[in-house]
Amino acid sequence: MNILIKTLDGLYNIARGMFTVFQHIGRKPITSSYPDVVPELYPNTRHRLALTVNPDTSEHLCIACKQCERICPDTCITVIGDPDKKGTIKDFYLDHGLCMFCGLCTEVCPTNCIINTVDFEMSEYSREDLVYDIKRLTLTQEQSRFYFDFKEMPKPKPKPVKAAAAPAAVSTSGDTKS
Amino acid sequence: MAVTFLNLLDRFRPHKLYRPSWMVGVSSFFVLAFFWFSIIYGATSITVVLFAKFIPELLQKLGYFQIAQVVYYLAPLAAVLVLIPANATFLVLNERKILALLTVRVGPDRVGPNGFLQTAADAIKLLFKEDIIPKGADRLLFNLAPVIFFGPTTIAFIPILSAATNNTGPFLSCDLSIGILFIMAVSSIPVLGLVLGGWASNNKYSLIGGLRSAAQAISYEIPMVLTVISMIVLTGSINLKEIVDNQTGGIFHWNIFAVGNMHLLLNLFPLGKHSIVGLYGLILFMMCCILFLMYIISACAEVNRIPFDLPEAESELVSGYNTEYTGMKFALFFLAEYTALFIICCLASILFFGGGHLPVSEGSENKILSLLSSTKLGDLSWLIPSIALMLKAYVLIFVSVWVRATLPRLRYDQLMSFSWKFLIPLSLINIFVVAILMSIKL
Repeated sequence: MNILIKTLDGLYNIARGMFTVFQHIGRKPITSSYPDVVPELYPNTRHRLALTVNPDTSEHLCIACKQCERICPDTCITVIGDPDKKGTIKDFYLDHGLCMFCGLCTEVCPTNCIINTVDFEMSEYSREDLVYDIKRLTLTQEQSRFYFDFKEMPKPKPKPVKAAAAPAAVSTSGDTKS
Repeated sequence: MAVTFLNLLDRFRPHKLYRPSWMVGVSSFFVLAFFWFSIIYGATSITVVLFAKFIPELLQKLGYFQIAQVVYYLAPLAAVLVLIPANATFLVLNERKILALLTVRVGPDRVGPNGFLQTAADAIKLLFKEDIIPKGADRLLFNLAPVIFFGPTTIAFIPILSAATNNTGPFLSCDLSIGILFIMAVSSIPVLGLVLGGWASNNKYSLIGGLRSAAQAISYEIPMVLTVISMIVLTGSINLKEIVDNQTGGIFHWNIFAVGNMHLLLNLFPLGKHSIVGLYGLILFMMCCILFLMYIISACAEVNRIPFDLPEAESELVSGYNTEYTGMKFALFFLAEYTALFIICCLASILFFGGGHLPVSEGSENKILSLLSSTKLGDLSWLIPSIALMLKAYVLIFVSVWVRATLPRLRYDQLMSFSWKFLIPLSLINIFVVAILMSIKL
């Protein structure tokens, strides 16, 4: 009698399990076919780092304060300011091979210059290619505008103090950088 | 880099290219099934027509009368040789797609439209792969094992063809009077191939897989054969064609519904003088259901389907007996496995679900058949039973994939004790009960 009850119980449970599986037929697939469909990422996702420019005037936002270099736990950022002009950037090296995408540099940046983008496709053939220089890091004006809107960051004002002191020099330097 | 970024911006816009809505997966699966079914069926029937009609006529014109006769009766064999690879190719894709549907995934969708040609591409890839024989392997047995595994499955398919085509034309030569016995005998040979392959690979995982498959196949063959014996007692024949013919006349004449004695159940309802007859019918019906369940369970174990796939348990043994096999030999193992599944399902639909008979009454079925037997293209009455049988087999294969998506693998000792302590005694009791039931004359 015991074995009969056990058999019926087992059959019932198998049938229940199979019914549960059958209910899922025709559902929208959970998996996404990635290269065709890029998942919609959120504004706070932390992927490849990049430097923005002012979306209105296209001048580089970095003021070479080296806060990011100081706070980086992996010491993957190297900021080289322009020795001639204070507050402008000459070169900027960021080793994505070392970076752990903690996002501390983006939090500490006073001008919202360094940001985490939503680009995660950055495979390279050699480790040296992962060290990005300022040319590869800096976004274009359109991309900067997109990220300022996307992350809902306050729009930067055009540099007011220097514009009063030496307007011509600043604008030319900003143009060349972007 | 800038280009990449702009592309990324494009991708952020709401895409309308690929947005599967509800039931799109199911309908695309049905399209796939229809596409592949027409390919399989078309290829097989073209081969049959070629061998049964055109080549013999040509040979007769040339004057080789005896060779023409031989070619004519070789048509079933040619049909099998075309049907099996095409069918296995479809079954693999079918299984992957159904599993994807059941586990809420997309499934293969790269090769061809919606992945229709995935397994065709796989087959071509396997054809071109290097054939590696591992160091220390027994070369002769290593090469022989896939052949031993694959050959009998081809032969075991022969008697099913007679039931599938109503003995039309050259298929008369497949009508073995010992049909089921032949299939059972032949389909127990492939285990030898598994054991040989496992041993000859000189690999511990293969060896364990081979040993497991030997033990499993031996212990599950007994309940399977005993169940089939019960069915033989019920139907009174071991000829597949006769078993199918006994089930004419609609869905309630199929063997699973109390071997066509479903009307006896009507005696139950006004309880009284005749209720004992109704009880007889009820017991018969329950016996048939139990026999079907037992047949499916032991057959799944026999062909190493998933809840019983101990020989190739990929989480324990790497891939079981076919770990060391590459290229075409691996493809042969794969082919034979799926063909064995197809044979098992065909046999189940012949034994329990009326074979090639449509679920309509006898008169309308005969009308359809007579309509088809006098068309412009000649006698086409073989279309209905073969298509019906294949569709029934595919439904059963769907059930087996469904089981695969649901149930986890058995533990080895559970597998053995389930067979020896539960299935075999139960099947012996079944034979006893069935014999008593059949000896009662109503």
